[in-house]
Amino acid sequence: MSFQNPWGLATVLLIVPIILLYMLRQQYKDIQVASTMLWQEVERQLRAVRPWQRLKTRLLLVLQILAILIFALALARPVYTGTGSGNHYIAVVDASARMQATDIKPSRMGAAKQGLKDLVASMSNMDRMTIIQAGIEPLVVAQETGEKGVLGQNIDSLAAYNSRSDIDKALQLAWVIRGEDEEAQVHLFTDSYNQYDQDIDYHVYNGDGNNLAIVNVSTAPGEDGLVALSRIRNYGADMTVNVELRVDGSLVDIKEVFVAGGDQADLYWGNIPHEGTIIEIAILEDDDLSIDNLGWAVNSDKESVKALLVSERNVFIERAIGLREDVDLVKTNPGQDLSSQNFDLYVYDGHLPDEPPQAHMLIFNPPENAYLDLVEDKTIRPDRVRVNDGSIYSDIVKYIDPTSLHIAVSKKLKLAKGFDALMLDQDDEPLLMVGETDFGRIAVFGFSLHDSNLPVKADFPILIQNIINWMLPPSLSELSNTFSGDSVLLQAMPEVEEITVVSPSGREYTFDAYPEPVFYDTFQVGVYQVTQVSPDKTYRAYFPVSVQSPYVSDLSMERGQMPEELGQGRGRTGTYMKDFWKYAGWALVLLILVEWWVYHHGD
Amino acid sequence: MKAFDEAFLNKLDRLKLYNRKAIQGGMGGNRKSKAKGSSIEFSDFREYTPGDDYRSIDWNAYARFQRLFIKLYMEERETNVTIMVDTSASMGSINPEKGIAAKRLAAIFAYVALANYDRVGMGAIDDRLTDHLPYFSGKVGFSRVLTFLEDLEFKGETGLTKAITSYSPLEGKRGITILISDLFSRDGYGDALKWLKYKRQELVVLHTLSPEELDPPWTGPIRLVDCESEQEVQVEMTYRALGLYKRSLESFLNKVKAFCSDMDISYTLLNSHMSMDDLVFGSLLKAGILA
Repeated sequence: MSFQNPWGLATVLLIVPIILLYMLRQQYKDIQVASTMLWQEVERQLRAVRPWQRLKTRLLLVLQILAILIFALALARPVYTGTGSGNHYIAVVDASARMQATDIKPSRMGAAKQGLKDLVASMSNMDRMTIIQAGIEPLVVAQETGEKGVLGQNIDSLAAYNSRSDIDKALQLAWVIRGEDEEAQVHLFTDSYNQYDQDIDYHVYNGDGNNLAIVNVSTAPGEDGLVALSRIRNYGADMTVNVELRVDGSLVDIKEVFVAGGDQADLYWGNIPHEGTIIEIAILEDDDLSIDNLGWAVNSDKESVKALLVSERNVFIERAIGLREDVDLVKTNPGQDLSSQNFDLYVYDGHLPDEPPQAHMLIFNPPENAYLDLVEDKTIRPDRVRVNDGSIYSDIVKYIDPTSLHIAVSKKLKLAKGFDALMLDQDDEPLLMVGETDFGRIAVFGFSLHDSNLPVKADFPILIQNIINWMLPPSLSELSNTFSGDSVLLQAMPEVEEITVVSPSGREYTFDAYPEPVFYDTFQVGVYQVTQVSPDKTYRAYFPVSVQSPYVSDLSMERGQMPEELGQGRGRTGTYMKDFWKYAGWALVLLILVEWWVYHHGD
Repeated sequence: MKAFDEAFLNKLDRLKLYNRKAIQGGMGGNRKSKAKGSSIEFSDFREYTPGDDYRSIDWNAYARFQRLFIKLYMEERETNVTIMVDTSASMGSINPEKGIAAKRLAAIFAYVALANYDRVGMGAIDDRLTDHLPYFSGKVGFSRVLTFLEDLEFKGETGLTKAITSYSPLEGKRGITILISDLFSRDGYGDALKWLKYKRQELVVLHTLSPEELDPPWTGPIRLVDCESEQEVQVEMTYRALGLYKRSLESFLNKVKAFCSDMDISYTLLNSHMSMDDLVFGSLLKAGILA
């Protein structure tokens, strides 16, 4: 006998106050009566005179002490540990989207749950089970217990996600739980048969179902409106299906297409109005997995970014920025006043304006000025250049090879608060630094491009694109490959304080805009709406979430055979633990009832 | 105390005190007396002696026996009815309902006695005679009874023996005594009742108890404080304690009943919570105290 919660035994201390209460006379309520003549005899018999009385053995006291002892015992969770025929079953249940397939009735998950229930039913009184739901992350839904009712409830709560599952991770967890108990049996309830190294009992539910899936939907501008491309893949037998196109919920077109088994078919949809936002493609025929019969694309009106380049003429910068189709670049000479126009990005080459713009800035060879204390009145001559991989902004320079980079002379940069160096010389003097200020995001090259071979290297346009992407992140609508279960970084637009995400079912999530939040709850497939409100503007974007084909859609995995002995409780000899708290609880209830009866009828 | 309405008083008219024995002495009344007299109910003969009323001579007997006999008649005599009300604190300071019941009972008996042409006297007692109403007769004086009862206050300790044995208005007058009390007396009740019997009183004991005394309603730990002596008794009111009390009460009542039975005393236990109608037309009629 051992206790899972030995501290529960401390409840025994409650016996002390109970005994004291019996020894201490109670507070009496005064009542005036005509005469106490008759009561004196009663008092004599009851002996209720002194404030403290000698402790007498009374049935009520005994019952109450007994109740405390049982209560303490129940809290301490007594378990009987012994050796015998008790088994520990560790059941890992695949919760991938594929388990929603109905090629086995009612579904693969439904059949797996029934199989698991059968295994529970076959357990002896000494057996215990742990259930792990294998999703993207494993989740223990039942901790080692022999309570069949509890296990039944936990099995009922199991459901397949819309995402893939990480069986390996779930099995690793199972092995950790198994620990030293080498006799514990690991049962895997899944729809595919992968031979793992460990000793696993497989329960495979796979009916080689037929399934067609929308594997891709994309849009492009056409002459008479938008053009949508949809790709349909057939993971089963040859099939002719009807496919419909909806734009913003309205039916636009239906097409019939033949897709050979194992092949795919592309469908083009033209004449879609430019103002259409959400393009939905749906296969109308039923198959064994419906979750992948829908696909979405979002047509976002990409707003072009306005950038101002202030330079004496620097063709390298002009070309590097010009590679971005969504950037409208305006060029001007230093001293030409364009401050009346608002730009999203300012690029200064050897020059800074008198007043800082309220926008992002890319600065080359900065002069000294009052509002940005960026440079010292010194120059440095770097012999070697290296990139700072440890910076939080290291993504900006991750494709840059510094070994062949040469810089003749650079201004000595001051690493201001909020800035981080991305390129440094041999003395760790920053050559390129980036940071976030009250004005916006700023990237500063300490040197003139004319004093370096950087602009003639292939790395240069990549570096500029990385910097512009960091300053002006791509629209969420361009995240077309979000799968259920993936996380989405919600990048905030300027001056936005709050970001709201609405799921396809209408559930609303609100986040602070900074630090940039990550949205995890993408288990629902469909189109999510993201809204950001700034004082001047409301930004609205959409991103579609779909299932991950072919992992999810290909139902015809190699079908495994269920070992015959599974589900029968093989009765290996091992240690087992039997929890007694439930019985203690019932005994406590019974005692309270007896105590109540005794109190009302006298002891 | 607005004791009775007219309808109730009319009902009382139909009642009279039931007295099982003829009482001697007193003036003409409605009760049979051992003194043979001139009323119409024939009792016996005796020979004429000078001084007898000529009108009593039985001339038919003279014709037959040649001797003078006079007829003797059972003379109906009035009775002295003494009503003693226990006015100790136990009768009314805690439970006014009990005191009111005692006053009303006293008023009922006084009214009935007066309606029967008896003489009524009243005494308020605790451990002494605190107040008394001298004997009088005639229904017209009933208002004096009400005024007397109205002014009674319930206070002091009960000492029935001491109070009754020193009850001076009773000296030399045989009759009926009605004692209204809870009998919770420090010096007991036996000697008092015996003394009254010695004083040739027909005794009626109206043992008046409140509902709380008959069936205590309390639960939990209670400190009972005697309203007369301030004596305290601590009791945890469990079923057991209440059972013990009921046994104690039953023993007390049985002793009183046995004593009264032995002493030829009419005894009735009354619940002060009962309505006057129930008291008069139920308990008292059933017990034969009123007829």
